[in-house]
Amino acid sequence: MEVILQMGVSGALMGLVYALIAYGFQLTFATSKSINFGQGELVMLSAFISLTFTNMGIPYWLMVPAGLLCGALLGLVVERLAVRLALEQKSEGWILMTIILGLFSFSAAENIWGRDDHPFPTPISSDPMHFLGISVTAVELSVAIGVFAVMGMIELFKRKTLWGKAFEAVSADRDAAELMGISARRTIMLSYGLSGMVAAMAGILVSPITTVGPTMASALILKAFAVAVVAGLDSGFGVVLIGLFLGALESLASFYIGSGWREAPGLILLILALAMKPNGVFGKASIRKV
Amino acid sequence: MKRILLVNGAELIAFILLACIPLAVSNSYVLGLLTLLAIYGILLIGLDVSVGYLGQVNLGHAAFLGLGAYAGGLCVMVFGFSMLPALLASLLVGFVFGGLLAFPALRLEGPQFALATLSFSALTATTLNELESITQGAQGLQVDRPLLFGLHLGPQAFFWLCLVLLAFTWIAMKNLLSSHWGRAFEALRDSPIATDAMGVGVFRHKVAAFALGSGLGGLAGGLYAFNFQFLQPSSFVYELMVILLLGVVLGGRKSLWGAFVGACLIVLLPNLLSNRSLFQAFSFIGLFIALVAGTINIRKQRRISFQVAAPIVSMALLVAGSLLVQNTEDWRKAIFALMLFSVVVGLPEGLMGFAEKQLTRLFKVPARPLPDATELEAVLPKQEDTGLLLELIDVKRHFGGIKAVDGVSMQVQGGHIHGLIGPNGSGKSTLVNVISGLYAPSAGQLRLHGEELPKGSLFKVSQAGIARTFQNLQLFAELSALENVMVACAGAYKKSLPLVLLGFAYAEEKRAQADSLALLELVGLAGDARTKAKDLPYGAQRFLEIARALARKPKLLILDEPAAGLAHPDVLKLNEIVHRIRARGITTILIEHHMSVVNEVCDFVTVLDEGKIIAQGLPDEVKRNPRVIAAYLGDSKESSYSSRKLGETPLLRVEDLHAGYGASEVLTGTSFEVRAGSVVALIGANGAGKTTTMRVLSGMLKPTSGKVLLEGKEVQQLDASKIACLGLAHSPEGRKIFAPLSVEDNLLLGAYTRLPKVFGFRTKASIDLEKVYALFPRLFERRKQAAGTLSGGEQQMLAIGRALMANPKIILLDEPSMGLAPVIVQEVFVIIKKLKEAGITLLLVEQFAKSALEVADYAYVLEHGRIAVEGTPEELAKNERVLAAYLG
Repeated sequence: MEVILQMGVSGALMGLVYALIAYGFQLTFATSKSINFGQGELVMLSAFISLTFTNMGIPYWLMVPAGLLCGALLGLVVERLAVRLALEQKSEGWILMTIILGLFSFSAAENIWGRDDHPFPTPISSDPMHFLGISVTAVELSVAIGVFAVMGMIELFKRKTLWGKAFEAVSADRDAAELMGISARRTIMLSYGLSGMVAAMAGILVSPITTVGPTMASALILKAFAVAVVAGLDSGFGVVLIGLFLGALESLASFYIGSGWREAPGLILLILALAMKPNGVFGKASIRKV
Repeated sequence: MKRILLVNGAELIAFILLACIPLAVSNSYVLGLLTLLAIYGILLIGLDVSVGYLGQVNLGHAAFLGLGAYAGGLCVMVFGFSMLPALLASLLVGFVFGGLLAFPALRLEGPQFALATLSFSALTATTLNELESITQGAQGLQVDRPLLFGLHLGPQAFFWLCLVLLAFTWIAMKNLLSSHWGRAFEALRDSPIATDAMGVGVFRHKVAAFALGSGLGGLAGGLYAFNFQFLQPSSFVYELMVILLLGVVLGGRKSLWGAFVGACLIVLLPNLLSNRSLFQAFSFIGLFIALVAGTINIRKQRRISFQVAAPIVSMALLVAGSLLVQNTEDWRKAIFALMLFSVVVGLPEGLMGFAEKQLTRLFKVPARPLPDATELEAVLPKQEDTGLLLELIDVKRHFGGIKAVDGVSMQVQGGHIHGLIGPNGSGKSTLVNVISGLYAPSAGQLRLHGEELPKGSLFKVSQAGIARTFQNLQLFAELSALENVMVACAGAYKKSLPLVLLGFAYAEEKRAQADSLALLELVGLAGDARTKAKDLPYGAQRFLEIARALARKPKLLILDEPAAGLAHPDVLKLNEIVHRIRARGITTILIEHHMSVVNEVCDFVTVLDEGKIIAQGLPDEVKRNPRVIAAYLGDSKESSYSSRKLGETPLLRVEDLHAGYGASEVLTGTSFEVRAGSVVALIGANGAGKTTTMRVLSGMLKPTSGKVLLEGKEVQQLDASKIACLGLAHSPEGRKIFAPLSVEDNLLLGAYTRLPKVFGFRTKASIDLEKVYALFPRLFERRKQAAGTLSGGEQQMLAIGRALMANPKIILLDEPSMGLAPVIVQEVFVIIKKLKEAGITLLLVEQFAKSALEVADYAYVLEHGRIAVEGTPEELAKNERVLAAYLG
C-alpha cells in the first residue's frame, strides 16, 4: 500500500511537468488554434542554454530568468518561421513546419552539445524528506512549486492586466478583438512567447531529475500531448488534474508491468480520448456550421 | 493516343529500365539500393494516400512498416510461411491495424489526427520492444528469406519480385485513385460536409483510404524484413517517419511519380551525405533552384516575401554547412529539416508536381478526351407531379435558449418551386439544415412521400433522395468541375473494389462522365468541365453546386441562397437554370433574398420570421401581406422623422468602393459620406452589401479598389486594429461580444487603445465606465457576469457600450436589431436616439428601414453593391424604390 502511495506521489509530481508543457500548448491554441509539435525540442534547447549559463558561472537564481527569456525568444522564432505563414494561408501547414523546426533544433543540439546526458546542477537539495511514510525530495517539491508559480503568474497576467484581457479577447473572438484595436498577430506572438517561456521553465525544473540531453524531452513531450488532448486543448486547469492522474498512473504501470511500458498508459489514454471525447474531458463541444 | 504513348510509355520505360539494370551492372551494392528503392516506392505510395489524398499529416506510417515487417518475419520464423502468404500476412496486418486506428482517428482533423498517429507509432515501438517473448525485443529478430514457389530467391530475383510488386501497386493505385474511390478521398478532404450530403459516406471512405495506405505500408514492411533479414524496433521510430514525410512532400503529393522520386531521394540520401563533394554539389543545386524559383516569384509579387526569402536562406545555410562542416553524417537531421523546410515553403506541390506541369506543357500532352454528353432525359428523367412530397409537422430546433426554428409546419407539393424567405436570422437556413440532416430537430416530424425522414444524418437523408446546395459554397475545390459532379453521381458505380483495382471500371467511369457532362450542360458549364472548381468564377461555382446536387437525381432539391453574391447577369442565368430544373419536374425548396428571383420562379412562398411561419401563398400575395412588410421593413405605427440640418465637414467619405469575398464581388462602386455629428442610415435588402461595406470601413475586409477617407486620411489599406486606433468604433453584426469575459472586461477592452496596458487602467477608465453604466443601468447590475450569459438585448447594449468606451469619432452600428424581439428593438432605438442627442456621429446599417429612417438625419439605399437612392428620411419614406429594394 505504502509503495503504491509512494509511486503515485512521485509520479504525480512528474505529471505536473507534463501539465505545465500542456499548459503551454493551451496558450497558443487559444489564440491561433495551432500548437508547436516541436515543443519538446524547445524544452530541451532551453535546458541546454540554461546549463550553458550555469557553466559560465551565472548563479542559479539569475540563470532561471535568463533561461526563461531565451525560451520566450525561441517561442517567437517558432511563430515567425513555422506558424505565421500557415496561419495567413489558413492551412494546417504549421503541423509539418513545427515538426521540421523541431528536427533542426534536435540536430543542432546534438552537434553543439553532444549526444551525451549532462547533469544539471541545482542548489536545491535532493535528499529525501519523509511525510507520513512517503519520501519526497526538495527537488521534486521545487517542480511542483515552479509549475504552480509559472501557471499562477500567467493566469494573473491574463486576468489582471489589460494585455491579458486582450489575450482572452483574441481567444474568444479574433475579429471582434481587432475591432477593439487589439492586434491579433501580436497577441499570437505573445502567446508563442509565453508558451516558449513555459517550455523553458519545464526544462529547467525537470533537468535536475532527468539530466540534460538531446533526447531528454522526446518521451516527455508525448505525455504532454496526451495530457493536453485528454484534458482538452481549451480546458484551463483541467491539465493539472489530468497531469497528476497520468503521472501517477504511468509510475504505477512501470512498477507493476515493467519500466518499458512506462509510456503506454499516456498513449493509450490519448488515443481513447481522441476516439471518445475529441474535445477532451474538460473541453467544450463545438457546433458544426455551414 | 499521344497521351497514352507519352504517359504510359514513360511508366513502361522506367520499369523496364529498372528491371534491366541488374543484368547490366553486377554490383551487389547497386542491387541493394534498387531493391530498397522498390520497397520505399510501395511504402510512399501508401503514405501518399493519407498525406496527399486525405490531406492529413500522418505520423504513423513508420509503425505500419514495422508491424508489417514483424508480421512477415514472425510468420516465416514461427509458422514457416512461404513468401507470398507471408507478404499477404504483412499486408493484412497493416490493413487491419490501419483500419482499427482509423476508427478513433476518423472524427479527427489536422493536429488531432497527427497526434493520434504519433501516439500509435510510439505505442507500436514500445510494444515491439517489450514483447520480448515474441519479438526478441531490442536484441533484434533474425528473419530468413522464405521460398517463393519452392525456389530460393537470390538478391537479383528478390529485386525483381519487389519491382513486380511495385508495378502491381502502381497499376492498382492508378486505377483506384482515378476511380470514384479516389475522387471520394479528395472530396472528403476538401469538404466532409458536402461529401456526406452527396451520399458518399465520409466514414467508410476515410477508413478505407487509411487502411489501404497502411496495408501498403505493411506490404513494404514484409519486403523490408525479407530484404534485410534482421529487424529491430528502433528502426521504425520517429526519425524514419520524418524521412518518409520528406520523401512524399519533396517528391510531390498526390502523384505516383512523386512517390517514386521521393523514394529515390530517400535511398540516395545516405550516400549523398557520406560523400562530401557530392553533397556540396547537391546543396549548390538546391540553392540554384531556390534562387530561380525566388526570382520568378519576386517578379510576380514585386516584393520579397517570406515565401521567397525563406527557401533561399535555408538553402544558403545548407551550402554554408556543406562547406564548413566535416561530418555531414552527424548533421543528417538538420539537413533533412532544411530541405523539407524550403520545399514546404517554396515548392508546396513538390518536385514532381512542378515538373509534371512543365512536362505536360512542354510535350503538349493532350487531355484525356471526354465522351459525348448523355441525353438529359436519361440522366434526369422527367418527374411527374406527385402531390404532397415533403411534410413538416411542428418542427423545432433550439440552440441553448435560442429558438432558431420554433414550430414550423409546412407542406411542399411535388413539382413546385417552393420559396422560403424571411429576414436575416429568421431561421431559414436552420430549417433546411434540419431537413437535410445536418442538425437533428429538437422536436417535430419530417416526412418525405409520407415516410419518416432520417434525422441528423446528412448521409442518410441524402440516400433518402434529398440533395442540397450550401449558402457558403462547399465545393471540392481541388477537383475539376466534371469530377465534382461525378462524385455525386447516384447509382453510377456498381463495380466492386477488386474489379476497380484491376481496371475493369472503365466503362462505368465513361458513363458517369457522360452523365455528368449532361448536367454541366444544363447549368451552362460544359465548356469548363476540366477547370478546377476553385479556379471557376464565383457565379460558375454556384451553378456547379446545383449541377452536383442534381447528379443525386433527387426527389427534392434544396437550394440555399443560390443567388447570394451573384452579379446581375448571373442572377438572370440562375433564373434560367431554375426554370430548366422545373421543366424536369424536380421539386425544389429555394431559400433566397433576391426577391426578383423569388417572384420570377417560385410557385409558392413560405415566409419565416423568428423561427415561425408568418405567411404563405403565391409570391404576389405574400409581397403585399402587411406582416411580411413589417418583418422586412420594421413595424412602426406613427411615422415621425427627426432629421436635422447637417454640418458641412465630412468625417467619413467613401469613394467608388469595390470589394468582395474571393471570386464574388459584393460592392460594385459604393460612394457616400457621413458628416460630423450626424446619424446616417444605410439601408437595403439582405445581400445588398451593407455589412460588407461596414467590414471594409473598419478594416476587416480589404477593398479591391476605391477609397475610404477618415477625416481626409486614406485608411482602406490599414488593418482593423490600426483603424480602431484612429477613432472608428465598429459594433459588428451579430454583436460579437467576448462571451467568456465579464461585462466590465468587455467594456474595458472597448477602450483598449487609450488605456495603460498593465496597471491603473481601471482607474483611468472609471469615468467612461460610469457614463456607459448611466446609459445602460442593466449592464451595471451584471458587470461581473460573463457576457455570454446575457440576453440578446443586453448583449446588444453591451456591444454599443463597448463601442462608446473608445470615445470614438464615429460609431458603425451594424444591424443592432437583428434577432431581437420587437419590444427590445424599440429599446435599442431609444438608445440610438439618445446617442444622437448626445451628438455622436453614427453610421447605422439596419434591415428595419422604417425604424432606421426615423432616427436618421440622412439615408442611403444600397442595391446590388452600390447606392441606388439617397436623401433625407422624409424623401425616402415616400420613395417606391425603397420598398422595391426589399420586396422586389
